[in-house]
Amino acid sequence: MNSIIVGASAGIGRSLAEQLASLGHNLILVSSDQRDIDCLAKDLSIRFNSKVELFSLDLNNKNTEDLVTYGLSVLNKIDNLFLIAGWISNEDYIGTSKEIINYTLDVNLRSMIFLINSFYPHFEKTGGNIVGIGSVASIRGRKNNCIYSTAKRALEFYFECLRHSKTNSHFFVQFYRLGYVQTQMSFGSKMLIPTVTTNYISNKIIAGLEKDLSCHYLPFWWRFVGTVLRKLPWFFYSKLNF
Amino acid sequence: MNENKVALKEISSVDLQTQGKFRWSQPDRYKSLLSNNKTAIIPQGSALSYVANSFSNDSLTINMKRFDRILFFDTTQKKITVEAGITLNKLYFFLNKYNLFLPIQPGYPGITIGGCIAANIHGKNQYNEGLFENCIEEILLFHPKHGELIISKQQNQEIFDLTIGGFGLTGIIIWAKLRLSLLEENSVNITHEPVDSLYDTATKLQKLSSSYAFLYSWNDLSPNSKYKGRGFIVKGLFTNSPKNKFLLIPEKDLFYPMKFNLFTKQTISIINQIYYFLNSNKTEKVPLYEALFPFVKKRSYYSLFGKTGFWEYQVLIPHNYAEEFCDLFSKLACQNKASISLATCKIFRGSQKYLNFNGEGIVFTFDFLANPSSLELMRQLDKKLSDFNGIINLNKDSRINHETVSLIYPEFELFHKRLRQFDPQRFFQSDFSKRLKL
Repeated sequence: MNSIIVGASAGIGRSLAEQLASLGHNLILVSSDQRDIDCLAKDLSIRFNSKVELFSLDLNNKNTEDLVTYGLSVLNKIDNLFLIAGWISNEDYIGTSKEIINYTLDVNLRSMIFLINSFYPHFEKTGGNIVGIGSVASIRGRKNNCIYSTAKRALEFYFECLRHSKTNSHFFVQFYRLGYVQTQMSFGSKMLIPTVTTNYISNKIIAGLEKDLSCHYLPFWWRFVGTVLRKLPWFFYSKLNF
Repeated sequence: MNENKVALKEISSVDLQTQGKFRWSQPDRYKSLLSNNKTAIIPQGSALSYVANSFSNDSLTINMKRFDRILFFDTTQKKITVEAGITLNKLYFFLNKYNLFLPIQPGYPGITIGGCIAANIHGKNQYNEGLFENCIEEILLFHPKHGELIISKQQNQEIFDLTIGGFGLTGIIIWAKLRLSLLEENSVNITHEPVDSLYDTATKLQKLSSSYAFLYSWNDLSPNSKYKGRGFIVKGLFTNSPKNKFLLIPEKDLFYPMKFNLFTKQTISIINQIYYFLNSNKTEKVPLYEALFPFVKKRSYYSLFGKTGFWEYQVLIPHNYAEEFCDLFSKLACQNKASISLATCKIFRGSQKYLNFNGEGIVFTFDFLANPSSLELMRQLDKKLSDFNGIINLNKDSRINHETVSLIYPEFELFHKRLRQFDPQRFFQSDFSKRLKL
């Protein structure tokens, strides 16, 4: 199997790379942090004897066609595209700077759409999996992390469009709404609900391959939290401070 | 757009003598790791040090556990390059597949390579193998003002010497290239030889020092034994065993202190007597993993001290003073009615440099219950140490102060001066470095 992981330098992307390498996948690791993926590639090659290639891509840069060309030249066929990269600012609130708005939308939404569009013809032809990562932050709008949540909600919507537009039955789309995961994104935050490890998430993502999943909560208990939050009347919801 | 997030985290030294909430971060990218150049910082591995050398009220702790990758490996040259946050556990299981291992390792596998370098640890037979520095070929060190430096015995030797056993005060160790040994046998044949006293142990160890791969003792210094130190010498030789099972250990939260203290003056005597009778003439074949990391099976030992913790006192006494030291120790322990839960001895050789725990002689290790009589005994021993030309292992002792260290370590001032020459602003500080005014 050949897989591309966008956002492989740390967190879920790194954990996924380790697990896929242990399963014998050939990998292309994509990140703007060249040094991190370089170290990870060396580690995976040494520990699992895997074929691991690197591609440096800044998600500000919309030139995603280059990744398709590179991917096909190196791997011939791409079976899985994992869109893991994400970014959140500490200053993500209504009235934040244009720079933060643009960067948050670029990393979490625009670049993902560009990547999907670039790879779409390949997957339509050969089949495979496109995996996207959302967030429980997008269940309902709130004053914190508003640009990030907006981007994730829009990405979720785009994944629904993708599922609807695909015609090849061997082409699968999975989209996960992630709860609290032990990554830099949640680091130092006080969580009301338990966090899970990146290994837990990457295991579930691998188990979900070859299935069509529209909006799957990870870990599963967030489905109940999500339902409660969505059903909560505005009068009560507006009083919540989280 | 790069942010290094900081949390307040409850951290304690393993002996529980220093604890509190400290500013802590765990970067997972090089950009974040190398971005801090404004505040005082201190690197941390698994936080398994007996003393508070990876945190402080005024410093930001940089935990290295996310930097645990293997960057280079050559089986023919027997060399490996690893990031500093890799644990001995992870490394052991990787190397085992290639019949290789690190010849010098401390007793617990959760410790990181960065920690081994910063403490310049010793293994089960320092006499034969020396200190961890003998495994190190070169290191990549990061300092906010100097940038990234390759340091080795050939390149930037002065910084290399300051870094090995330098308590993480010269910078962040990013990776280290290590020398490995061939693992010809997968088990260790352990025999226990009974000894009558602490001094008897010291003399027998000296005779046996070059004949065994693993050599140390266990001595009973509980009140009921009248502080004489009967016990046994643990002797280990490599052997092959068809059945070799591995123990799996949890990677995090290794020591949970119990809510109450199971070690008291009375229980220590009973526990030690039982331990002595169960082990004094034992011969067994144990997997190498278990022989290298004996604390895996005994990690509940630390919990038994409860929330008050313990003090460890580890001293290196030259051979010609060993008898005098043993007599003095028994006398002072009797006078102070000391509560000693564990005593061990090892033979050392080598030359002492800076603040490294190294030299020619016998190493005596004592674990005391944390109470005023133990403190008093250690104070009295401190005063006599310079008469014996003895040194204390600073990585084990949470109470020793600047005055005592400057008296017993001949190169203390030199280390202090060279550290300041390299880093006039003293970017890297811990509770430990402040206690010693480093």
